[in-house]
Amino acid sequence: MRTTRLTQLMFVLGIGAVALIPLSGVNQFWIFFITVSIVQAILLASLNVTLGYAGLISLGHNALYAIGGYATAYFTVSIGLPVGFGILLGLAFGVLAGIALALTTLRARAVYFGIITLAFLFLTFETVSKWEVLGSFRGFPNIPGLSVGGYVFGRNEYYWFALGVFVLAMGALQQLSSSAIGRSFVAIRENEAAAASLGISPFGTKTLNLAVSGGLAGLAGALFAHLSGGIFPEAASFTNALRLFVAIVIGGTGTFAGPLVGIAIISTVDRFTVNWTTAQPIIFSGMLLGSLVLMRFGVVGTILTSRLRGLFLRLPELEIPVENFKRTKRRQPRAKRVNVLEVMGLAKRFDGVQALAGVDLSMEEGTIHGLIGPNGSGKTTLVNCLTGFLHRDRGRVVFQGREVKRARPHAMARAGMVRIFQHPETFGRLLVIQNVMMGLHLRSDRNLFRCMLPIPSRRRSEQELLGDALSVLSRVGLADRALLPVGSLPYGEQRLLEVARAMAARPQLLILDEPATGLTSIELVRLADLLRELRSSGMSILLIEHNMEFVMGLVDRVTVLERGECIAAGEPDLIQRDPAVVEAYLGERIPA
Amino acid sequence: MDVAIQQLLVGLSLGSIYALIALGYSLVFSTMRVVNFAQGHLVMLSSLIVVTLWVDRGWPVGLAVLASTVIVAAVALLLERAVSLQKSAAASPLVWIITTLGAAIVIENVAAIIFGKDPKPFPALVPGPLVRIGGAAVTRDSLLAIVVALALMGIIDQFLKRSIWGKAVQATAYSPWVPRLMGIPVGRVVAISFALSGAIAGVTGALMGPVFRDASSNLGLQLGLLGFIAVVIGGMGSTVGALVGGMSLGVLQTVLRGQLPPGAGTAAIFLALIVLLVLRPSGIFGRDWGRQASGNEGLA
Repeated sequence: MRTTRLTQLMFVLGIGAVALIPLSGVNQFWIFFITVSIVQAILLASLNVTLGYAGLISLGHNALYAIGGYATAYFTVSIGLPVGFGILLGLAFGVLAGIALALTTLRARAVYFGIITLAFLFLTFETVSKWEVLGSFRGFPNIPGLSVGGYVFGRNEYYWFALGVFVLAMGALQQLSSSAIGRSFVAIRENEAAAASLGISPFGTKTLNLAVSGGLAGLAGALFAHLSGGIFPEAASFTNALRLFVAIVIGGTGTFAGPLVGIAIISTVDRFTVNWTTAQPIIFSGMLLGSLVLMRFGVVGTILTSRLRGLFLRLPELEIPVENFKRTKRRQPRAKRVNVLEVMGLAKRFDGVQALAGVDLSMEEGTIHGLIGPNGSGKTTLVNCLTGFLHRDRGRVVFQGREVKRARPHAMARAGMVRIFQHPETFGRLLVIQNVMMGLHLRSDRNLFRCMLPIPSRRRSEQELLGDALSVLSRVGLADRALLPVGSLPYGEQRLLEVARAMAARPQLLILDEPATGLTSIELVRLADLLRELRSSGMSILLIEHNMEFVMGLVDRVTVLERGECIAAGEPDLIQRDPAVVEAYLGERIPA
Repeated sequence: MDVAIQQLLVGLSLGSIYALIALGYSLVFSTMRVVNFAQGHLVMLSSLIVVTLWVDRGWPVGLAVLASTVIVAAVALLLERAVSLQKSAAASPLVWIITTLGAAIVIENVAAIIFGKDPKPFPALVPGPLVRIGGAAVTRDSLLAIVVALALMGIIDQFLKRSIWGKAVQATAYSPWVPRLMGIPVGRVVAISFALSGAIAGVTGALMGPVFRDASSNLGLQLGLLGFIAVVIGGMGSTVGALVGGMSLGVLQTVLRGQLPPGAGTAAIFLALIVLLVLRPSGIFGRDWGRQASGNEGLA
C-alpha cells in the first residue's frame, strides 16, 4: 500500500517546519527537548520494524538503544576515538546485538520471543550497572559532543544533524518497507509456514530484521549519548521499555506514521508530568490500557481504518494486462525425458504410527503426476517430508538430479520445489495481490542496501513484478479480486489464490495438495486448463486430489498410496482397472 | 556436607515460592494461552497486604492471609475480564501481553502509592528457634513454606485430576473450542483458573514475606521473572513441572549465590533463562506450547 501525496506533503512540511524551529529563537531547553524527541522517534521506528512489520514481540528494545549509547560512550571517553566514529560504532554494536538476539531466539516463538527480549533487557541493565569498565551504576557522565574536523556542533547544529539522520533513516525504512525485504518481514508475521514454502527463510528474515532494527536503535542510543552528554543504566530500564510500548501502541504499529505520532504524544505527556514522576508510570499504563480499549490499532491505525483512510492511504491503481500474458517460454521437448523427482524408500514414523513405510515414486519432467490414496494413507506426510516441513526417517530423495540430504522448507522452495498446503495458508490480513507478490520473493531484488535506496531500476523491476502478479491472478480468474483482503474470499477462491501464489514463484516442481477442494465446477475446469497450460510450458506438477474425475482426466501418471505404502503406479486408465487399487481405494467391486 | 544440606533447605524454601508462582502461570496459560505477566506482582501485592493488616493493623495472621488471598483473587478476576475482553477482539498476542504487562505496572505503582515505596520488614510467621536438621539450621518459616507449597500443589493437582471443574480446566487446556461443544462453560473455566491462580498468589505472598524478609512494591517483576524461569525449566502446563522447576531454580540460585561475586547472580540467572530458552524452547519437561501458542489462538 502506498501513502498518498497528502501524507508525503505532510511529512515534508512537518520536517521543514521542525527544521526552522531553531531559527525562531526559542530557548535552548526546547531545542534540547525536540532533539530528544527526534532521537526517540528513530528508536521507535526501529521498534516498529521489528514489532510492527515482522510481528516479533520485542519487549526490551531499549537494550539495543543502551548498547549503542554505551558503545559510543566507551569508545569516545575511555578510548578517545572521535565522536563521529563513535556514533558509527554505536550503530555497529546495535547491529551486532540485534544479530545476537536473533541467534538466541532461533527457535523461540510468539511469547517466548518476548520473554527472551525481556531477559535480554534485564541482562543488559545488570551488566551496565555492575560492570566497572562501563562505569557501573555511575554510567558515563561526561561524554563529549559532536565535532567534525575542529568544527564543534552547538545545540542548534546538533539538532539539524539529528533531524538529518532521522530523515535519512525514515527514507531508508520507507524504501525498505515497499521492497521484497519489507514484504518478507510482513510474510513471517502473517504466516511463517506459507512464507517458508515460497522461499522466505523465517530465521534469515528475523536475523535481517533484528540487524536493521538493532542498527537503528544503536544509532539512536549513540545520538542520545552525545546529545545529553551522559549515558546511564536507566537507558536499559524497564520503565523506558514501557514508554516505548505506550508510544508504539498509542501511535499504531506497522504503519509509517504511527511511531511519529506515538512519540509526539508521549513526549508531550512527559513534558507535562515531569514534576510528577511517581504518577508517570500509572499515567503511561492507563494510556496503554485505555488506547487498547478505545483504539485497537492506535491513533494512526484507527484513522486508517476509518472513513478518513482515503485521504492518507491510496490503493494502487491496477491495470490488468489481460492482453499481454507473459507466458513462460515453452521448453523444447527433449529427446529423452529426465526425472524431476526420484523418491526411494522414504519412511516416516510418528509415535507408534508408521505414516510412510518406504515409499518409491519417480516423476518425469514436464508431466502431471497424480498422488492418490484413501484418507490417512500418507499423501500429505509425503509432501511434508519432500518439502522439508517434516524430516524423513529413512529414504533418498533426488530432486532435479541432485540428492536432497536434509530438506528445509525455504531451501526446497529456492531449489525449485514449491507447494500449496492442504488447508489454506494465506497471509491473512493482506490483500490478494500482496499475497501473490509474496510468491515473487525469490525473483525480486533482495539486496539490503539496494532495498533501502530509491534506485529507479529496482522500482521498475518492482513494477514489472506487480504486473506479473496481476497476470498470474488473471490466469486463475481472480484479477478482479486483486484489491480485496484475502480473508474476504470464499474458500475455493482462496485455494485458487494459493495456486496463483505458488505459480508466481515459477517453480520447476509444483506440489498441489488437494487444490480442487471447495472449487465450483467452472473453477475446476479453469484449474484443469491452467495446469495443462503450465505442463506445456515445462513445469512438473505433483497433484494430490480426491476428486477422481479431475485427477484422471489430467494426469500423465498416478501413484497410489495405502497405509504408507505404494500399492500401484502407472498410467491413469491402467490404475483405474488395477484390482488392488479398486479394492483398497474404491471398495470391492460389485459383480455385474 | 552440612553446608550442602543447609543450601539445599534454603534453596527448597526459596524454590517453593518460585514453584507456586510457576503454578499460577501454568493454570492461566493452560486455559487461556496467556502468560500473565502480572503474576509476580500479585504475589508482591499479597505480601504487602498481609504485612499491613497483620503488623500495622494488628489483625490475627490467619485472617490477614485470608483477606489478602480474597483481595488478590479478586484483582486476578478483574485482570481476567480485561484480558478476555482484549482477546476476544484482537488476535495478536501483543495485545494481551501489553494488557497483562500494563496491569503489572499499574499494580506496582498503585501499591507504591498505597503502601509506600520503602520495603516493609516482614516478621516471622512462626517465630521460634531455628530447626536443626542434620548439621543444618533453618527457620521455621522456611519449613512452613516448603510444607505449604507441597500441600497446595498436591491439592491443586488432585483438583485438576479428580473434580469436574478440574477436568473442565484440562479440557479447556486441550482446546478452547471442543469443550464448548460439550457444554462446558469455557468462559467460567477461564475465570476460575485466573481466580485460582490469584488465590495461589495470595498464599504465596504470605509465605514469601519471611523468606525474603521484606515486602516491597518493586519486587513484582523479579518474582514474576524468576517464576517464569521455573516454568521454563519445568515446562508449561504441568503441576509436577512447576514443582520441579521451582525447586531446582531455588537450589540453583542458592548455590550460585555462594559461588559468584556479589551482583553477578542476577545477571547469571537472566543469562541462564536465555540459554535455557535457546536450548529447550518449550522447557525441559514441557510440550511444545510455543508452536501452539503462535498458531491458532482462537479463544474468544
